[in-house]
Amino acid sequence: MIRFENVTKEYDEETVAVRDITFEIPSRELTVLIGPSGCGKTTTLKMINRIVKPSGGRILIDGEDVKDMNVKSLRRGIGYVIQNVGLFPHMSVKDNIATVPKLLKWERSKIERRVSELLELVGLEPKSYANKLPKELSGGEAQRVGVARALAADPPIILMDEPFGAVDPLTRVRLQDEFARIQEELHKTIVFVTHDIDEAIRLADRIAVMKAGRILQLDTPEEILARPKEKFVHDFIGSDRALKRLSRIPVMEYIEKCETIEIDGGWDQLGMTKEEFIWALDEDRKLVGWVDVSHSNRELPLREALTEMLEEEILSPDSTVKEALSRMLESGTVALPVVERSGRFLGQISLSKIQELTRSDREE
Amino acid sequence: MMAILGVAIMLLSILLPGFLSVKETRISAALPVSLASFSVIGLVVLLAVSGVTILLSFGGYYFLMGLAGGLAPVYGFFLAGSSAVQIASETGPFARASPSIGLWILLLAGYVVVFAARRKLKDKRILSSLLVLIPIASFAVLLGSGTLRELAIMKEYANRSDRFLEEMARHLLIAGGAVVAGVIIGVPLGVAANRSPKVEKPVFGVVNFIQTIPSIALFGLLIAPLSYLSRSLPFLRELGITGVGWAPAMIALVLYSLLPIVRNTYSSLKVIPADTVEAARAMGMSRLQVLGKVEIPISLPVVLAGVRTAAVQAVGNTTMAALIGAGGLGVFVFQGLGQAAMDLVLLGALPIVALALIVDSLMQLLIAILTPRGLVSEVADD
Repeated sequence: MIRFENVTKEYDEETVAVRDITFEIPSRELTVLIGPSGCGKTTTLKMINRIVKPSGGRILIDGEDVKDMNVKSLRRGIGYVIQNVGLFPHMSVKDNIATVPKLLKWERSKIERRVSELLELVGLEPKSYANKLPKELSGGEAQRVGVARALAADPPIILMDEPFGAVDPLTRVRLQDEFARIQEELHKTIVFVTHDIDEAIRLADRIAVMKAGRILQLDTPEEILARPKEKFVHDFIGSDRALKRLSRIPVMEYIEKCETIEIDGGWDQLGMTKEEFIWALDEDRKLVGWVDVSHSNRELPLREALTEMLEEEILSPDSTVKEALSRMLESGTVALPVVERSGRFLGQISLSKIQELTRSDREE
Repeated sequence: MMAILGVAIMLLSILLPGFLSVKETRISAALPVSLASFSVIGLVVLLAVSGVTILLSFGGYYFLMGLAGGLAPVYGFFLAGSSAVQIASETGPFARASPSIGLWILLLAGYVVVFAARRKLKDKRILSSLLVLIPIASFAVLLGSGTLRELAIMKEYANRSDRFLEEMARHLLIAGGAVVAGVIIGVPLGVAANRSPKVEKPVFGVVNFIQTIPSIALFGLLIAPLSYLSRSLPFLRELGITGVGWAPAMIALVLYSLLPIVRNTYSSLKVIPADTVEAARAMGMSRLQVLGKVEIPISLPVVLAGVRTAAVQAVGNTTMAALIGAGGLGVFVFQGLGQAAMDLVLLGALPIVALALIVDSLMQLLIAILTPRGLVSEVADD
């Protein structure tokens, strides 16, 4: 856990970067510091590894004041990724990644193994990338190497200063997804600076919204989106905060049980249903399509009335509610099925349910 | 394109009426002698070399092309030397055979072809410097073999061999000393200029201004203050510091070497990305480790490129130092000019050119070896 206690950073009387902040960054979570430029987020980050020296207050890592630690060992125990990557241009990818292990005097064979392991982790083929030079990498690849370099000595803490800011939007989303996957696996204590609210919502366990050297609100993304504390936070999140919130909610939270029909059975399964449409399953409870209840000729076998589903009309359990909503709008339907990877039907998510739940949130 | 130009010059040099010039005595009128008239084999070989050079150029074998071009003038000197031996035995000991316009043009042709090849070999710096070093080494072997002993310039050398070696050593000492001093003064100035804009402006103002003063004028300007100092401070006189001689020469040459060294040191530090240094510090490198593992490796090639420029320039400028009694190979140049003895001028001038080329190539080789693989394309060649 990293704890800031009344930390202040002033360059002179006019320019105060950070004003008396006190907060905690929980271990094994990703905390995002977000705010407009000049809000003090980068200064806050850089005080953790003593790149910037606070003018007042103290910063504790697991109870120990960073000021009392040996600066070199402090820094070697904290991974660091910055926007322009800062790879060493005169060193190969391998040597870049091996920087901290070399400073820590690891054995050669151990370093070699670690480099391959890390390249694989960040999705770069070790054989073809280890000996490349930074100038031979694309922006996205360089950023991956930067992440690998920060992870090299397996530090418990990683500081990231707009790490995906300099790559194109498409690559950025891919890097974010992969990074989220890595974090799910490694559970590092990450402090992540960004000014991109979508990035924060996508990655953060907790978000600290900063303005003019102060933290206005520190909460989970869901909480910040649902209940922004101040007008500034509200405005900063943007007018589509309802939609953004839905992107944090997995469909499984809004899933409903619903009527289904066994495709090889008869029409008599329906009984007195009021539904107009009904999901059709096979005997293994795998989704095969849907049946139009009100307009079908019940003289014919059930299979004749079946409409098969397009792949994009089926949701998986890890889809978000925002995704579900977007697909409903696209396909012009009011409900979509949620299906496990194996094909087993889990339930449905409907427009009315989404509306009902978002409405009840607003009234809280 | 440049290679074709070189070959055209080569063909011209072979076919000109004067490849050598022969005089019955040192001061009698010179008669031109064409290559065809004394060595048909030589003519054929050089024609063949021209053809091969063109073929290698079209085939893309640039190193071999440059080698052929570079060795052609060496072979030309070999032909001239052997023919001079023959002329001496026929005409008597006072006859003088000198390289004439044809041979000089052949030398130019060789230079053009090598230059063309080096441009194509930009990324392969070691091969590129070999293209200068191999022909010069072959020429040295030719010199050592004695084949050239009857050429007029070698006769001038034979008359002055002790003096020649002495002046050569002096030349190298003055030029080398000036560059070493230039590095000792220039690198810290460059670092200081990079760190502080307050230093940057005056430093560049002064070193740029010095560069615009012609060397003779600068030597002259130093005579008065140094004579005064030497008169008033006896210990300086005891050290050999007077208004003329090596002291003003050295001072002037050090001042000249400052611009390239200060400028390149300054810009080499600008090349180091601030992010890279911050990343290095944030990963727990000490100040010294950042310097040794990051800053120096990135900036060294650029600094050395400045030293290379300074060194080549110093070898050339030291020639002028002979005018104020500092010695060096310039002594022969100015003596020769005074006596209208072109062979004596050449005895000074040719080694100066050769030294400049050797220093240039050796520095290039050194830079090639010291440049980390990742930076090769970022360091300007000249």
